[in-house]
Amino acid sequence: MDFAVLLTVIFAVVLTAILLSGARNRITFKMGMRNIWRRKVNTVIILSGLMVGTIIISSSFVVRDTMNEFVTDSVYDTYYMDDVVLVGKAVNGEEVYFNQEVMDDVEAVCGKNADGGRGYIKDEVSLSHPAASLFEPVVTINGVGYETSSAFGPFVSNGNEVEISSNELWVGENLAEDLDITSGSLVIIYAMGAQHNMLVTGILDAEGRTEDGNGIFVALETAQTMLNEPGRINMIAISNPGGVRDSVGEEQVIDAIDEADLKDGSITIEVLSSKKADIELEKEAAEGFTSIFLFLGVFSIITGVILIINIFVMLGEERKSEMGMARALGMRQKVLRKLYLYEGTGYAVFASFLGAIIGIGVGYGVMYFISEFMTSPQPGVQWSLLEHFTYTADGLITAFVMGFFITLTTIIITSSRISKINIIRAVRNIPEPPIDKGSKKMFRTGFVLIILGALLALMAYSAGGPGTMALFAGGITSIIFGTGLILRRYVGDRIAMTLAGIVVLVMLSLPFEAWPGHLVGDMDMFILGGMFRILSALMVIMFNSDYVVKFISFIAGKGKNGRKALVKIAISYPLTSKFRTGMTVAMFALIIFVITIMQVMVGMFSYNIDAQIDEVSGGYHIIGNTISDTPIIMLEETIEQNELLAPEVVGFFAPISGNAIIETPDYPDEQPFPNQFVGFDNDSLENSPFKLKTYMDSYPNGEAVWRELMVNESVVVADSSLAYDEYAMEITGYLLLGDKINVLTKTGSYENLTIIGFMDSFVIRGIIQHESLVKDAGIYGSSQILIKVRDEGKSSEVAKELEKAFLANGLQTIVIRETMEEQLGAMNQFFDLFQAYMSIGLIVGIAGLGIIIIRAVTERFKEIGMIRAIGFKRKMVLSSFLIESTFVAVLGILIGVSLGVVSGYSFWLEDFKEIGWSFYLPWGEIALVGFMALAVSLLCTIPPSYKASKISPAEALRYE
Amino acid sequence: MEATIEVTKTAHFDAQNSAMIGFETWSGESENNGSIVRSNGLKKTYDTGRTKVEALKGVSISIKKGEMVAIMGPSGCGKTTLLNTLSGLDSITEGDVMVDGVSLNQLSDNEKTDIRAKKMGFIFQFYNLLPVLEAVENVELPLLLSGVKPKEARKRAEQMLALVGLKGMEHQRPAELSGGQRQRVTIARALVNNPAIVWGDEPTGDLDSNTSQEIMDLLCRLNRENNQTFVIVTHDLNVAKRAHRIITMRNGRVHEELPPGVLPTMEFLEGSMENQ
Repeated sequence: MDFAVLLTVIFAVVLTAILLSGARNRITFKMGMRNIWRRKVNTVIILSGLMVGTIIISSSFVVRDTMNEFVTDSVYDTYYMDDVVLVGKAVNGEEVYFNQEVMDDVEAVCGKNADGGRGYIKDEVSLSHPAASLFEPVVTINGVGYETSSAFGPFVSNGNEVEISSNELWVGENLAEDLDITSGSLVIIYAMGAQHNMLVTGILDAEGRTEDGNGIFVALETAQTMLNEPGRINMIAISNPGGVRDSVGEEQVIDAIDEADLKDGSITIEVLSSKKADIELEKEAAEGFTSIFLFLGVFSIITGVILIINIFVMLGEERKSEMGMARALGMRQKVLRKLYLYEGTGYAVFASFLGAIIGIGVGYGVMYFISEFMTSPQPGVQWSLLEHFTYTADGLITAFVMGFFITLTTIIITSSRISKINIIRAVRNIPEPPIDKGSKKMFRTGFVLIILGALLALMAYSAGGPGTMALFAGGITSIIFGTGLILRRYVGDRIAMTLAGIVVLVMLSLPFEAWPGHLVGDMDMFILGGMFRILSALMVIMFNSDYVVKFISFIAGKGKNGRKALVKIAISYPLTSKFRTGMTVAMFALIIFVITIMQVMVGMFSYNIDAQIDEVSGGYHIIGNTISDTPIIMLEETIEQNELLAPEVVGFFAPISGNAIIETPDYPDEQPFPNQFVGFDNDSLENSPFKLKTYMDSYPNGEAVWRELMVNESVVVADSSLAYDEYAMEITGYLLLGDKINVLTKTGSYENLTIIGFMDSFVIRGIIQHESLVKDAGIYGSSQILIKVRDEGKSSEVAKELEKAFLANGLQTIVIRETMEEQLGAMNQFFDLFQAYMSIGLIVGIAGLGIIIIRAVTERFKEIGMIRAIGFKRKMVLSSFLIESTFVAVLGILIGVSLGVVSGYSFWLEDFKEIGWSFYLPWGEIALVGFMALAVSLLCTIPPSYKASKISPAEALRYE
Repeated sequence: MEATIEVTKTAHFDAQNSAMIGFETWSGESENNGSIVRSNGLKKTYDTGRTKVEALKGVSISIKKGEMVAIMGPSGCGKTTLLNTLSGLDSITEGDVMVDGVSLNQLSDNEKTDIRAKKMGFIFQFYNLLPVLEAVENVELPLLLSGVKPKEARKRAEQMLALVGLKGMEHQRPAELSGGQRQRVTIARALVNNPAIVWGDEPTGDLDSNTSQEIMDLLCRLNRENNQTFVIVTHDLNVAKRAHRIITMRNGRVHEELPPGVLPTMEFLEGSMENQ
């Protein structure tokens, strides 16, 4: 059953049960419903608080749905009418050209499952437009026309269908715009070391078969001639029955191709990709992106839950007296709980409904932000996410029902606490006494916590693996808290709970390495650890609140005019209402904690940008990569002869490198993959500019590893992108030190090469060995070059000139600093977005504080009258409430910042210290966030505080 | 005529003299006939938007320094309103109140607050202690507000608590004290600043008769020893008979003034004479 349908059924069952119960208890039900409408302002505040969780869930579903729509649309655009794409693979796994007649066999194999097939060429060339002095080193050339049906759709130019004939050149709309090409322009195509001057026949619209409108399109024979592949193609596409989005029979086609085992000599025809599989893959990737929002949203949802608890506890306090009366008149505790259940259900339904709808707006805001400020990983491409903005009924229903259950569950649990009242204390509105030191209930709870914690820790310890560190830590924390509850009987609350809090704080601040090695910590540890640490910090503060009051009063007591009295009163109130204050502080602390960690990470990345550049660049400024099979042979000579390059280029590194296929026999499930086989000369190995990230323990240092390549042909070093990194944010390789690999080249294979080190850098990509071995593999030129310039400020200029000088090789350059800074900028923008998203949680905290102050003004109405009577001026009353809200907000902010900084430091210790990064705290940014949170909190608490200051003392003293 | 000044039998208000005094601090008993608090045609109307309630309909009274005056009357007659307006806790609709020679009418809220902080003490029926502060902290509050240094304030608060019989209970919070003990803390708080006037609104209203007796003994002793003025609103005849003078009120006006030893009847206090 579909998840949304299942949730809806559960929701319907629960709601029906509650309504049936309400029908049997009409008076209680009526009372509950009337409570909702009794105080309209209160109801609005309560609903606002309750809907937060649903907003977060709903908005993250909207982000998910939009991202899904975006990625699937891009797959549909890429494939258009194609459904399955086939390639030819040589024995060594390399993709190669094959006889175009294979297409007939493919069509025969597919039979009725396919509408038609097309054989085509898709390869890379370079293109220049001399009249405009513009060029593009890497352009996709499409050789088309060998098609068995019209199922693939027409090419369109200016809205008219066109045919592509021999010796015609059609250019995609976007490429034409970039290179200022129009119909009739003379362009030069560089392919296979030759130049082809051609007149542009026309411009193809960027839709349908032209994909993104960035390629050039010629007849198949024309492409075959240019690429020296007469009668051969490198791809076949199958179009299945149906249109772009509703094609069917993909699996049957793939099965038929696999079964047929089609060959062209030694070349095997294999399925490269399919529309359906790509959509699934893209959805999976989008899911990863979306999950970040849901993960960050968890903190806001928790703050929402805390707010719900706080709201209901305060409702309980507000109605304590009347509930006491009701109990005195014979209302059972069970009925009181039901009353809250009916009332809570009403709130939950309304709040979840509104939350799901508002979530669409918040989701739109997030997508707008991403669309406006985020750059696509593909240079020059702007994400047009808003065009794909969507939300689904499934997402909305799921958000509504999940929000409803989160709200209702919290209300039910809280109601059971607040309905347990002492009738006399409730009627007389006397505060509840502190829990007795000898309380058996607490003692028993302590034992239960210890036993449950021990079981949890034991289970996690025996299981090991991902997620177990959080469970283990949770178990140990439970044991410590349980011990605290038992100890309180002997040493009192303060010592027992302070000790428990400190122990948990210290324990959870330990780096991951300090935990048993087989336990794996992940984001769950981050969430759980953060929550428990905040709880512990709160325990330490709340159980020592009198010292806090004394300390702050001492500091503040230096002034005149009763400032000490003012401050003392202002901070005594929140520290007396421990539960409610603790909850509000926790709301602030949780969100500020996460934001601080983000700030620390962003700050550290920015601060260490030079270190990062050094780390990856090996001291070079520009990376150049050529189109495959057109390596650079005479680099030094060409640079020396170029007027612009000669004075600016002060060094280069151009190891020989060429295409190879890498097999990983240690991972039988993994497919062989193409990569570069790179040869370093003696000098480069003796004085390698590249540091190693890791290397085998049997070598004393990195230099020894590099030197080993000079004498040992059975070992290699790989670039860092191939290494497995469990903490990396991006997708990484899967290879480990000591793994064996086979390198297959055109001239043969080198088997069982052991990886003895991974480079820190990935500016040189591939598998590295001594150049003599690589030359044996028939590789002589350089397809990867690194350039050092005299003046780093001129890097972009030099890079452009290099591309021009090596246009025939299709050299594409990257200025390392620019790219790194762009990446950093993009990352910062993502962090900005995440922080903006987290601010929803902060708004919850601020709302919570506002509600507390509103409640405090009502609660202390008479006391306000009294202090006004004995000499408090209006502004002192105003100050008192503002100091109180400042104190609560600052306490939360300080706890959040402190724990966030400690976590940031732990991340640095674990991941960044060893790579030479400095720890950096962006105090300014952290202070700004804290200040903004405080300022907005104060703005929200000014109205009720001002109202309190305007209360006439006589009126307040009359208040009952 | 509602607007006319109603002069009670014992009121010695001199309107002309009062106008001359204006803002100047009252410095001579002769000029003020020894009164520390005087009201002249005091009116207070509560406007709820829908209805107007005339709580005081022109009250003119005079209270001498060192006097202990009880204000009595049936519920709703305006006793508490009178106390609130005389002490500057509530605003005045019409008329004037002079406290220690200063017209409250012409003072800002802050100036009235200053006078309350420096010259007045308050004892309420329900104590109105700050629950988050210890007894001693509650007592030292007026001192701190008056600018007394914290150490000195603490010392005086402890002495005052000892004086009201709460030595050793300085660090208890109100919730940990009995009703009588709480009222003693309230009294200590009201007197710690050595105020010229102490206002009590049903100071024994929430206490049993024995405790009530003890509290009144304490108030009378302090009144005697310190020559402070006590104005007490009460329903309790046992409290009222300890006063030097009883002012009875009815329907927003002063009904009569009774000399020491003469008490109003129960019928009057229960309001049955309202229609007489």
